This record gives sequence, structure tokens and C-alpha cells, in this order.
Amino acid sequence: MNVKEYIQSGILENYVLGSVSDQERREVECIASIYPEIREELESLSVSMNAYAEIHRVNPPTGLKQKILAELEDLSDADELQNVVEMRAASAGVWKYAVAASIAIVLVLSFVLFNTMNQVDSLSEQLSGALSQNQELSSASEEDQALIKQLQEANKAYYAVIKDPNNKIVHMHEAEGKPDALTLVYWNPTSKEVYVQVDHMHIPSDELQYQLWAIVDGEAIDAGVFEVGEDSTALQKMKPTEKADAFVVTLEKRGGVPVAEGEIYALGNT
Amino acid sequence: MHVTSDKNIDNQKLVSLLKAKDQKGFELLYERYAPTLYGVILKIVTKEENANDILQEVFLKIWRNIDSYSVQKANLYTWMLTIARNSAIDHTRKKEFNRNVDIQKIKLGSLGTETQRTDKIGVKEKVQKLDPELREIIDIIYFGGYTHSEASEALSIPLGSVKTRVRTALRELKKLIV
Repeated sequence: MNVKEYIQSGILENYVLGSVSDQERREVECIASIYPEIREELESLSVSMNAYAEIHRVNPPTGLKQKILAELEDLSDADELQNVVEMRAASAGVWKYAVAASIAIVLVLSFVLFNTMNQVDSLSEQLSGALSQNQELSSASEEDQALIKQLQEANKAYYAVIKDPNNKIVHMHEAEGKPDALTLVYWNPTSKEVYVQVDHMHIPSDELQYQLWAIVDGEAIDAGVFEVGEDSTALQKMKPTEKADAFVVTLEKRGGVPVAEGEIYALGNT
Repeated sequence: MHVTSDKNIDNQKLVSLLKAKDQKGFELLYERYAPTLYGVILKIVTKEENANDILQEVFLKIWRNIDSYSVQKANLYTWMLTIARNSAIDHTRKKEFNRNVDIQKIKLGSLGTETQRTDKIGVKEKVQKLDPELREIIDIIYFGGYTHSEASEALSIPLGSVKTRVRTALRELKKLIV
């Protein structure tokens, strides 16, 4: 990431003038939290624009203050009631994911089983044939069994992560100009475990690799590198992370770097 | 930073009060920031009764969204001003506000009338040193809600010049204020 170029791009000026999209705004805030130089520039532009806004100040009519504060008080009361309802609903919410996952698992397993059965059927027809064919059958079913077992293990692990109520699901959204970067981050603040699940991301050249960063108090902390490819929809375990205000994905040289250098591809607040 | 009461409560403490949905926090917030938020809203929607409703809406939005706000992410004042500005501009868009006509109103900002505060007079004088052309670009984007291409059309200058002018305007403003 070229800090000077970013500052000169005009995006920070557009941010303080309010002429950015929601996505650009989140991106500016995230990038500013990583690079102190950008944060400093953004802060002084913000202070300038706030001062400019302030010279237009007008006292609101008397009475408006009481009206607004009274409305907030009503909302506060309504909220307390809502919290009780939400707490009851929250435990039910987790099951939505669990049910979705079980359906997915059943679908995958039925597909595997269907294929196996077909294979078994077609091989059974040849059972009366040569012994070599018989051997072929036993080795094929062993292979399938191994595959089923492997899938079961993977699904069990996947299921364990997504049904864990301590896991926060962070929906990463793609950075501006990076349309092909959809990722989920599962983060468990208690066990510090972090998993990345790539939905779809642009596959980089061999010498590059995506790296995950946990943003804590404006500092980017390395959370490890992950793979993107045909087989990468499985959960990938990342480095343990205790605290994170946000997660960011950058593209770095293979193996990762200690301090982020590459461009940001995806970001999401915890 | 000007403070009308509880001077010793800084923004960080104020934010924790707000996150706790503390009434006193919101009262303090109102005292500190409502005049500026109101001034910006009024400049955009022009009608006082609309501005009253929008200010109320803005405080509700602050109340609802304060949980997602973090001091690390954005300047509190800027965050609230963005909410105020966007709410006011949404309102004018809903009313199919004829922005080509209203550019006259926005042009060469008639500065707010409430300038008794000595600490603000300094800033106002400084801002008056800003080239009118640069102030105009800030005003039509910030208060008029113009996009860059709308500004390009309204001012009859190329899009590239709008971008350059925006950067220059903010850089000059920063020099005058910070």
C-alpha cells in the first residue's frame, strides 16, 4: 500500500465532504486505522471540515431539546423490553445456521453415497466376471469409504465451528475496486480461534498469498496467510487472535509479511 | 473543542456514556453539538420546521448506531456531522428538490448568524480568507449534496477540475485552521 499515493488520491477529502459511498467510508476508516500517517491526515482534514461546519452553527429552537431527549428516553424503555425478547430469540438464531449446515452436509453425503451406490451397482453386475474385477470393486469401495470418512471429518469440524455460539461470524466485504473478494471469518474471542472460509476470491499468482490481519486499536496484527483455489472453500485455521476491532485481508508475498505492504482486498468489522 | 457544561468530560468518556445509552450523555451531546448539527441541516433543507424534524431523526440515529461507532474508526464530530448531512440531503432528495435552482442559495456561503462565540469568530475570519471559488466547491458538495459530476455540470468546469478544486479547497482550509 502506497501511503503517499493514497493520501494524494483525494479520497480523504471526499470522505470529510461526505461524498463517498458507505463502502468507501468503511474502507477509509479501516485503512486509516492501520496506517498512522493516513490517520493523521484524515484527522486534520476532519478537524478542518468540522470547524467549517461549526461556523454555520445555529441554536435550535427552545423546547426541541426536551422533545428529543424525551423521545430517547421512550426508546430506552422500549429497548429494555426488546432485550428480553432478543435474549430468548438469540439461542434460536444459532440453529438457523446449524440447520442450514446440516442440510448442506446431508446433500454432500447423499451425493457421495449416491455415486458410491451407482458404482457398487454397476460393479455388482460384473461380479460374476473375472477375479481382477472383483479386486477392483474392493479397492474402489475402500477409496470411497476413505473419501466419505474424510468428508465426514471435515463436516464434523465445520459443523463444530459454525454451531459454536461463541464464534463471531465476520462478513468480510470486498474493498473498493476489488469486486471478487468474498470471505467469511469465524472468530472465537474466548478460545482465540480464527477460521477463514473463502467464498470466492480472485486467485493470485503463485508468488503471492492472501494474509489476514486483526485490527486492534488501530494496529494491524498478523493472523496468518490462507490459500485460495478450487479446494479452499473448507475452513482454514488462522493464527490465534485475542482481540480484533476488525479483520482485513491484504495480498502479500507468499508466506506473509510482518507488516502489511500490499493492497487491501476485503475488510469487515467484528 | 468548546464545551458548554461538564468541561471535564472528554469525547472518549462521552462516547462511553452514549454507548451505555445514558440520558445525561445524550443531554451533554445535545448541548455540545446540536447547534452545529442544526446549522448544517438548516443550511441544506432551509425550512426551520423540516430542520427540527431532521435534528430529531439525527439524534435517534446516533442513539441507534452508537454501538457501531468506535473512536479508533472515526472522529465523533465528523461521524455525527455525516449522519446530519446525509439525513438532510436524503430529505431534500425525497422532495425532489430542484438543485439547479438552489445553487444560488448555496453559492458563496452566507455564513451562519450565530457568531457571538469568541472562539468561533477567529475561525470564521480565517475561513473568509479562503478563495471564494474554493469555498463554493465545498459548499455545493457539502451543503448542496452535489456529486462531482453534478458539480462539474453546475459550475461548467471539467470533472477533473472539480476533483482538483476539492483537493485544493480542503488543503487550503486545513492550512487556515489546523
